[in-house]
Amino acid sequence: MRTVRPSLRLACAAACAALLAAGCAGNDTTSASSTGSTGPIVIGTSISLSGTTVLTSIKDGYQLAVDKVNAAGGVKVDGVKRKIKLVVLDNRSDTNTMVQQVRSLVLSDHAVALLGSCCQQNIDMEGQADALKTPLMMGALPVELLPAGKGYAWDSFQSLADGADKFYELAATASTNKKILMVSSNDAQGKATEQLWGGLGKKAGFTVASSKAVPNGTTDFSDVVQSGKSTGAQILIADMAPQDCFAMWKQMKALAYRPKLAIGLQCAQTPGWSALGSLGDGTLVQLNWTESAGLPDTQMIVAKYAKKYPALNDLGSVALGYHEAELLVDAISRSGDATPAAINKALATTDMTSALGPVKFTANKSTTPSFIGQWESGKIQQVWPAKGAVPLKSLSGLG
Amino acid sequence: MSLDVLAAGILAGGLYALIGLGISLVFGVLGLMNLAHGELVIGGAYLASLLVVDAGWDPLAALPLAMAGMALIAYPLQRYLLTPLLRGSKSAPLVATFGLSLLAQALFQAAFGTHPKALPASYADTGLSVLGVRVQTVYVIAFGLTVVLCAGTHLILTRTRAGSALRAASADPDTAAVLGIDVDRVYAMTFAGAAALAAAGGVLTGVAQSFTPSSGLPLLLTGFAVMALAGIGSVGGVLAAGVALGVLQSVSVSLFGGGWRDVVVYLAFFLVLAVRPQGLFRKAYAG
Amino acid sequence: MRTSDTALTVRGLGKHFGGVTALDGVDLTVRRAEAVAVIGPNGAGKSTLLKLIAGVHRRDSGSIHLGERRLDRLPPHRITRLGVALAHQVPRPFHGLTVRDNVRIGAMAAGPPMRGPELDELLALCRLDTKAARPADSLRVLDLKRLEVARALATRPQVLMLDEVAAGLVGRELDEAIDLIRRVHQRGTTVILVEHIERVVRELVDRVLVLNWGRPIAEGTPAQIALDEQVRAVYLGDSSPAGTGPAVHSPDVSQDMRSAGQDTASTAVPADTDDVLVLDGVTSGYGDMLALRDFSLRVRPGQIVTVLGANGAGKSTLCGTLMGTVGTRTGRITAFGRDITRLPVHERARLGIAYCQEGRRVFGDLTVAENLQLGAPLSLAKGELHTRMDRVHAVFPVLAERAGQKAGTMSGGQQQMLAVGRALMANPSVLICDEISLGLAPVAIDALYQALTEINAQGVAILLVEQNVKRALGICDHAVVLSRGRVSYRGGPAGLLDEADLDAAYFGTPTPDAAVSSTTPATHPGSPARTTGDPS
Repeated sequence: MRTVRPSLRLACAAACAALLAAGCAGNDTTSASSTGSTGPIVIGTSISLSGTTVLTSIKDGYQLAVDKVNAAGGVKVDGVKRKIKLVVLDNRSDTNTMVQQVRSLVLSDHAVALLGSCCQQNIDMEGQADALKTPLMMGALPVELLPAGKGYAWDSFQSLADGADKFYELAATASTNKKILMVSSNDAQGKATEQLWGGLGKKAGFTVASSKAVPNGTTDFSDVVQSGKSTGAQILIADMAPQDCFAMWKQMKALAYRPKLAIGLQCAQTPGWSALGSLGDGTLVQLNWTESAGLPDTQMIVAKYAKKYPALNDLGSVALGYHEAELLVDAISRSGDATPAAINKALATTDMTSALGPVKFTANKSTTPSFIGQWESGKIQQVWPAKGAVPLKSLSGLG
Repeated sequence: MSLDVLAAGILAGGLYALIGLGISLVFGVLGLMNLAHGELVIGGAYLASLLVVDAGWDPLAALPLAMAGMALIAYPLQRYLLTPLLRGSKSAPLVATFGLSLLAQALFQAAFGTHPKALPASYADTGLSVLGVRVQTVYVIAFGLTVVLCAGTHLILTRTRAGSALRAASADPDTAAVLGIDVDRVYAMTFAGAAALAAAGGVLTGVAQSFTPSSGLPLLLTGFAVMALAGIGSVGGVLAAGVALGVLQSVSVSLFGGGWRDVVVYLAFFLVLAVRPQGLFRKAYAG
Repeated sequence: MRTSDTALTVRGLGKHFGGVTALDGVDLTVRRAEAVAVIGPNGAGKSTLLKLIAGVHRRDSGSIHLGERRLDRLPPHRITRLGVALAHQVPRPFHGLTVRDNVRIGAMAAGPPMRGPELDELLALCRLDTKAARPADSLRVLDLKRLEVARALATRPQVLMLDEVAAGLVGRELDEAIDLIRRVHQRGTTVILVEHIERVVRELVDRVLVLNWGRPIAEGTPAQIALDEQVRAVYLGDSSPAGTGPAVHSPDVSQDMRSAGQDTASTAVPADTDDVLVLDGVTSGYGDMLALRDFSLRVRPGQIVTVLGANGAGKSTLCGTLMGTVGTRTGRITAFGRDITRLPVHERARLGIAYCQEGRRVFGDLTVAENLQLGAPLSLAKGELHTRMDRVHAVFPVLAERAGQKAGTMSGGQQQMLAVGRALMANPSVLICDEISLGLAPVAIDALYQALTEINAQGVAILLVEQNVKRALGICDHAVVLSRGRVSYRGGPAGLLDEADLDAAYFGTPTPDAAVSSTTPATHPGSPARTTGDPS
């Protein structure tokens, strides 16, 4: 090293002299492009790790996949094994921050591909990926909700319709009067959910006896409860923020409304649901992953993260992040030169089995399986599909 | 619309009043719009959760301790941070309370995580039938407690010498100081009292509903709406305004559907501000 | 009367604010290029008159003409464009803008924008040319006043109205301000001054209008006005004998004079733990304005000391400084042998200093009894509290009768009794009273002064700040006359009972002596009791 240094310094000085003041400030690690060299391949994510949404579990899934590849010596690109460097930036649940961070990931960190955040941020990130012509691999956004873009955003996650169908398949096995009380938040997503679930419910032979839209932050659900009681609806579908669900479940119990099935979309998956104690027992939730479904790498994910994330839903998020990163790494390895354009091309021809099952993209989307779980004594267990499931129990919490 | 809905509105209004009372007190006496009031409420709920969730106490037993705890935290904040700022510009303490609000949210998140929490209690999800009207037990308890706390606050303000010192410091701090009243201390005590009231509201919110580090903001807005309806500086008005807000919400939901709740409430709110800018129920305890 | 020679004509002008009559039947005619002063005690309606002329307020009756043009129905900006400008007592520059921009913006209010040379000339006239590029925030008080005048002049007024522009200035600053107004006047601008400082009036104007309670009571040359009995009565307060009050004390005049001589010779007051209050070379004020300069005073146990002086003399600042509501810049304040210069207000109160502020300041929404209780420490036992209340009720029986009534609903005199009673609840060793007779009927004043004597008889020292000279001199042991922040008399009340002496200390009447002193700022060598440190 000692003998090399002077020459390096000389070279640097010469380069500086040549470039005069212009490029002098740049140091050699950042000025070197990650493409066409043997250095690490940089991928990046601007993800919400603080603020209203905290997605630490997804981030851990990303890191898990990257660590696994690097432990095996890296990903083979053009015959050379190269490590992958994952740059994680916390956008603090703020969209403007996310936009800035995505730009800086691509422009100054030279990330050749991006991993997503969640929900609305994923939709907003699509435009950035298209503008920067950098592939963006995301989950945590139902495939129906990804808007048509310029082809740089890739979404592999559950489908809303599939999720609803799974619920109705399960509901058909229970003995109910097939009358539904639908309660959804009165924002765009709530309205879309109401229409989709209502339509699919009718197809499956159910009737929507009453449908109520409630604003976020509602604490008094007496109107909803009353309409449930008066219509005699035995199936409750609630699509709301967690706090609203908590208040409604308490109020339903107190005011003696007793449906036979109740599913909490967007709300009942939270580990905090166990704080409801026995009141939460029997509540159904949607899942994108369960440890009992026999999906690939389940053992590894449970072994590494079951302690940090005792809640099934969080563990499912680790699996989701792992799945996204797996798909991206696979595409990088097939890209030939690890340039954004080549990776984007490679993603289109993905044909593999990830932690969430088999994946193939059609129009930048691929649907992963949906599961229905049920709360029982502070834990969620898979009750549908039947493979790997425990039998459906009664809604004892509200009974 | 049935009596159930009306009763639920009245009872929910009690909790609104309890949250609004602290905001109103601080604004009336200190002239400070406390943007961290929602976090004082949530802070009370988290304090109680240490005793309720972790040590198995009944929330009502934890309530006085949560009130005292929040008062102890709030006192030095006012005495050594906000009061010195009040001496300077009008906007500095406002900005400071906003900063405190963000800081508190970050602290809650670090200490308790982001998942919703609730305070389990036997009365959280049981109901009562009164004259054929079915109501949630916890809201009956909350309403009763609110009435007691409002009455207590009112009596302290109007029947004790400390209360008249507080009203004096609110009306004319310079003259109060000339009379030997330590105005800084009165301010800090007021803030601590408001924090204790907030904590009581937080514990009841935790039992009846749930809370997360970020659920302070809607509570602040509710409290602010109550204060504006009530007018500044009237304890009875705060209670009446809370109930009015609760009834308005449940009646509008039952008549127009949940989607219109906020529209109706804020329309009424602006109407009141336009027609009676001093609030619906202004009856001065100060100023 | 409205000839081409007339700049401004005011006829039968009246204005009410709610139930309060601010102006009533005021006539004033100002000739072109004349300088006129409007004087009168606080609340006389002086500023209201200027604001009515400028169109800031609407008149209720009467008329205002500028030349032939009727003004009183025009909006303020039209009046400004016609050539009437108003400069305020407290300058309000646009912060963040330079001096030049401030003046230029002033010019935009009227007619074509001011060009460079004209602007430079105006800045030079106001001695602001060297500071034109500085931000207005950086100016000291004299330059702020200059800027205020420059901004008014930028509208190219025919008539310039100055509302106490010299307030808060002393010494050389005052000379400069007078000089500026004189230069403006000599340019041919008609000037209307509202002023408390007698010297400004005397040096600048030809004619004086005196207002009291909104009515004109005298008009004439400064010299005529100075001799007017009615004007003197207005300034010295009511001169009716204090029938129930005590006779004039017979203090040891010679000793007082000696101590006064000491005070002026050196500001060091020897510390004496027996003394109730000692101020030693105290300077204080608000912002840039020093209202009290190098002031020394001693109040002994059981003594009644009165501080007299015209409006703006620094009397209320003295009270505030003693109590801590106004910060002390230099000097030392001692109470009962303890240095209290940096003690917070409420702790001074707890030491036994009670303070009845000007304007009574009772808590209007609290009951009379609640107001009284606030005067006592919170920790005071109930029994002792009631004993003290009984004692106050004995002095002011009306406070017992009205215990449950809201204080705001009582009459002015009763409120003043409540304020004094409230102060007594602290069981003070010294009571500071600021203008307790202001605005009260003579019968109420009688009752209050009777009470003060009783309070004093119980051993409470009293520092009495008054405009009502006769009343104050009637009960005090020692008197101090303040003139623009400095002491102009110090000694026994007997030294002021002679009207000429009083005039000299108070108004600085242009006696031959004073006329000399106005050009040679020096202490009177002949009179040790009169310390005209500042020529007046």
